[in-house]
Amino acid sequence: MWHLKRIDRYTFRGQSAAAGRRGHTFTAVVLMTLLSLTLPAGAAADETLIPPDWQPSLSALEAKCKAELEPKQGRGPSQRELNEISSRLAEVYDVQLFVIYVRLLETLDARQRQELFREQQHWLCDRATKAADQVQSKGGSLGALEYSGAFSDFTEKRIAELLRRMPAEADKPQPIEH
Amino acid sequence: MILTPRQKRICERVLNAFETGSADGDYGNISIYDDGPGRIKQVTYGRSQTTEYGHLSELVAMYVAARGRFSKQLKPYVTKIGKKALVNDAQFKQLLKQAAKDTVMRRTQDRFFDKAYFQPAMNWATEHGFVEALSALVIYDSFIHSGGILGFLRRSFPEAPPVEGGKERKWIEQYVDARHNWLANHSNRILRNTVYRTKCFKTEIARKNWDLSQLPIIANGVKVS
Repeated sequence: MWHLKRIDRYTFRGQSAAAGRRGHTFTAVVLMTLLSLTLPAGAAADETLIPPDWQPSLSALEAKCKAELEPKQGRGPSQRELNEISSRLAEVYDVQLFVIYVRLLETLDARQRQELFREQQHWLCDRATKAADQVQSKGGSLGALEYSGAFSDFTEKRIAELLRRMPAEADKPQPIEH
Repeated sequence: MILTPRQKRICERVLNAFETGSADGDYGNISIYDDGPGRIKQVTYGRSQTTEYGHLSELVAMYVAARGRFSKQLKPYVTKIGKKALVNDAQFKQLLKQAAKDTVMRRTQDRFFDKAYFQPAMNWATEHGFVEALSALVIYDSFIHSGGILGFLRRSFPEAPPVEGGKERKWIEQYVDARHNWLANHSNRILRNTVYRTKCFKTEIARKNWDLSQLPIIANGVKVS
């Protein structure tokens, strides 16, 4: 998908071979660190909060999940496997969105940050409701897949939306040379 | 609708293959999905996957009453399931896994899933005038996969059910086509991966296996006999 290529511009390719457990651990470390970067309310757009060459990638994990969807030896994934893969993919997209959201926040001034925060909060509630509305197989094993698939779909669209708002590479703060 | 024990067994084994990749089913499977109330994570357990906030307490209560090997240890959980989140309770999950090796749990699950899915599906089939074994399989599949026969799919094809004067085989054929088209062209692309179910039914319809006597049936690459 086109936007994933764009995400790669913000990723650290040296880490992209990480997969499975290692990938999860890496993702958790990235998230914890990003979360610990409590953005000061008065921070200005030119304050660099995230080291510019620190660009974690989830694309290997995403590719691994997608590869698991392919039939092997004439057998596609069972319903249970599909539900698990889809649930993991939904988490990967959500983490991708989180990274893009934090990166976008960094480029905004205090007022814009507040606006984006409120907008994102509203969008998150909206996503949960809309994804639940997409479930037609209530009480069936397909229901979990309908939910996680719709969740991923909405999340991917939001990633694309936030990426469109990201300033061009040339406008971003440049790393300081020592 | 009356199925022979052999026909019923075939229906169960085909559905096990669709759901778990094994015709024997996976009695000890535990999955965690965020599909509980308010999208919280919950435990999903057993051969045909019952959920913590659904009917898991009923299943565990049945097992406790049946005096299985792990009934004593699982008894305190009966009143907690569905009321207190157990998704992070390692002991509970371990007990469920261990209990799945107990034949009492296997029999309990068979009885439980029969009551929760198979009987409602057969009641629906009988009420609508269906009598053939392949019809039973198709209808049972919809109850397991979608929780029932989805109204919008029924309205998407012209044939009436037998109880209203329609032809059984024609209804099943049109219903399977409608379900196949829905899944194969779903806007949620990941759902398209589930068309192995309707493809299997189309194959059985094409070879006129209405009494399910032609075996094996290939269910998502698994030979069911």
